[in-house]
Amino acid sequence: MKRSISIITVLAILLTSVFFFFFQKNATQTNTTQTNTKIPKDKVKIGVIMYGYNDEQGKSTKEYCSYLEKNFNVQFVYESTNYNDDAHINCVENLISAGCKAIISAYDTNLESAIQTAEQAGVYYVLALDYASPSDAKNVNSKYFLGGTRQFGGDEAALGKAFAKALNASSITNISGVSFPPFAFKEAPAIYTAFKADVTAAGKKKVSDLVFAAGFTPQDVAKATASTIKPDTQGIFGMASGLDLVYPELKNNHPNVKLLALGYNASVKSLFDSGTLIAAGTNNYPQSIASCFVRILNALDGKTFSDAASGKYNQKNGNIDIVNGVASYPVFNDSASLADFEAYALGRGTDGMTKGPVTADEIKTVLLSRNSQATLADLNKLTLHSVDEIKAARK
Amino acid sequence: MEKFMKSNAAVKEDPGSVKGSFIKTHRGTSIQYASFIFVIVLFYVLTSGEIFSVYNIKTLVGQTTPLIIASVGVIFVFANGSVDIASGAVAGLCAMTSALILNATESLPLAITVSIAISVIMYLFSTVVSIKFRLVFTIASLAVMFMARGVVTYVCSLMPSTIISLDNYNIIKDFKTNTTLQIILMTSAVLICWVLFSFTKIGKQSRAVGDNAVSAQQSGVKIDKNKIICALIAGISIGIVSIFSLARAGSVTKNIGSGMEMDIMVAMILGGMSLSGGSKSKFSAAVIGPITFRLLSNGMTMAGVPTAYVSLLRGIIFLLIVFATLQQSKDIIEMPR
Repeated sequence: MKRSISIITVLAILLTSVFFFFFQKNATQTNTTQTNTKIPKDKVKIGVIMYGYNDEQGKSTKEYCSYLEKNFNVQFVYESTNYNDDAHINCVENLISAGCKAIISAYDTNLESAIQTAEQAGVYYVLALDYASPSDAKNVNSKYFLGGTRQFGGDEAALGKAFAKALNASSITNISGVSFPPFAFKEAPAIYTAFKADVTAAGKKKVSDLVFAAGFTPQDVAKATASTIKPDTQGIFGMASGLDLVYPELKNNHPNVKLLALGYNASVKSLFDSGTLIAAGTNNYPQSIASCFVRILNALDGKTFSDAASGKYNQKNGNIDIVNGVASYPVFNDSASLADFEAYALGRGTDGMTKGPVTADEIKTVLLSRNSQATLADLNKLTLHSVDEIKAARK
Repeated sequence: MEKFMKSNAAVKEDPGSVKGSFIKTHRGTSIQYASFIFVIVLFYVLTSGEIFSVYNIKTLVGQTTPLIIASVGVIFVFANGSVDIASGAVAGLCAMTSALILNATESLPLAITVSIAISVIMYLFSTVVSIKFRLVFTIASLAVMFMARGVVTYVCSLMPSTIISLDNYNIIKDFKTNTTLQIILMTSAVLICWVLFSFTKIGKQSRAVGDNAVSAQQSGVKIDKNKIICALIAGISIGIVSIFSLARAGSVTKNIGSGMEMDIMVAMILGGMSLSGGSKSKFSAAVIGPITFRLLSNGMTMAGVPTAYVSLLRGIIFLLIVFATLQQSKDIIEMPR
């Protein structure tokens, strides 16, 4: 026993040493990984905090950040909270300790405390997939808070109409909807209301009221999905992570019910091919990051957009005005539109991010250090391009 | 009793053979501190010394203080063989109550007092339930965890956006930003608990109960009374920690405090604590463990370890330290249970 413990201890030490040796060597050679003391000092370090990096959100974000690292004098440092909100402030502090001059947080977790921590260290803070509510405006009013980023193109009704258009083109005549609790997905009611109004207006189709899951777990969503499906239900609008949480319930217990989904993952193509999926969509994560990135570089240069106070997506509370950026929400309804989405919205075509949603050259056009006439409206326009617009621009 | 404690912690070596070798005599402690130094040196090298920058030292103090205060309190419960899994939920409940009190009265002393009182009540409840109904403490602790988490979830659901924001964050900000205050509170908690654990009947009896409750009882230990005192100490420490949690988060969501119990357990194991309690319980584990635990995550970010490898590497280092500290167990004669 004593011998085996000694052997295991020695092996673990060796493994740790080899790992660190390999990692340091790799980081220095590729220059595309994260914080490393051998990286030139003049690189600007930008921290990124997400729940994790194994899902589509995390992967897309990292891919785009790697592209930015190759084209700008920046280096991204990543932290994950692993879905533990209490770890968020630790992540902020660790990134500041790692030398980050700005932090992109995906969500508004512990926002006031996070901004206060960043402000004390003179570090900029920006939200990529969320925004400060007007009621929080006075608590987060700081020159180091660069605002949030509105999702769904800043227009929930338009997204609802896009899904309604996809449904109206199908043969489904009876559909219902399921979502996370409204406090967790505050845009859901507006999306569904617009969806229902358009489908109803088209006639001959019945749309049930939106059903909210009691919580966030797969079991909560499966239960809500099952409860909303009646014998004559032909389709369901899965807004509670349609592919990851709603689809498993359909697959297991309601194989004939078709799906419209908020979400994207690797199974989308096969679901389109089998006719199970009518339409799907997801946030354009690279556009969100691009919007944050531009605001960070401008702030680090000490520059502000001349129209910052009148941005279309800003949040106002009295005389406090919080600047927000915006990102689009592409919707795809067949294999062809899916291929375009992957090539032009995610930048995963053969030409990679050079044909992606926001190229390095496009970013330079809205950097105030390169173009003093650039405006917040220009930035918002750039990060709101649809897949079709991006495709046309890349040809 | 003293005789019992001495025999309980007896070492294998013949005292006569110890004279020439300090390390041999204190082998367990040496391994414990060597593991700690290994982590420090590892990240010192990897970060070119940046881990000891002024900002990062302050960061580490801020991150470590709540975990150390929680650990030095909860170690009494672990030492008597009980496994506490409610600390995070109880801290969450206390933080929520504090937030509501602060918003209503802006009185920090009142918020702290009520937090400690609630935490003590919850710990006493789980202890009394486990004693009266002959339940394993973990089961009673599980029930308390569900109750506390349920109350927090319900109250949060009544709030706009399900978040309880502090109307005046400045009242409590010092618990997050004032390093001097953090050090004073942490040092006070460590000293008080160290004395209680190492030099009073409370600590000695809790370890005796953890080793063998029947023997301890026959030696004159009042087991139920000891367990209640241990729960009281743990309750006070978690009540204080809840104020730190609130200060760090700045608001209360239904998830506040979640994962704290696991952090405490992992930290104490890293420090060389035996979760089965008894004479193998070392107070130093509740201090060294939290520092090592925070150094691991802070150091890996500063060293730029790719996120994909963080968990793997943390696991390897965790195993490494656990295997190393396993060596110390060999020096202590196991008491029959």
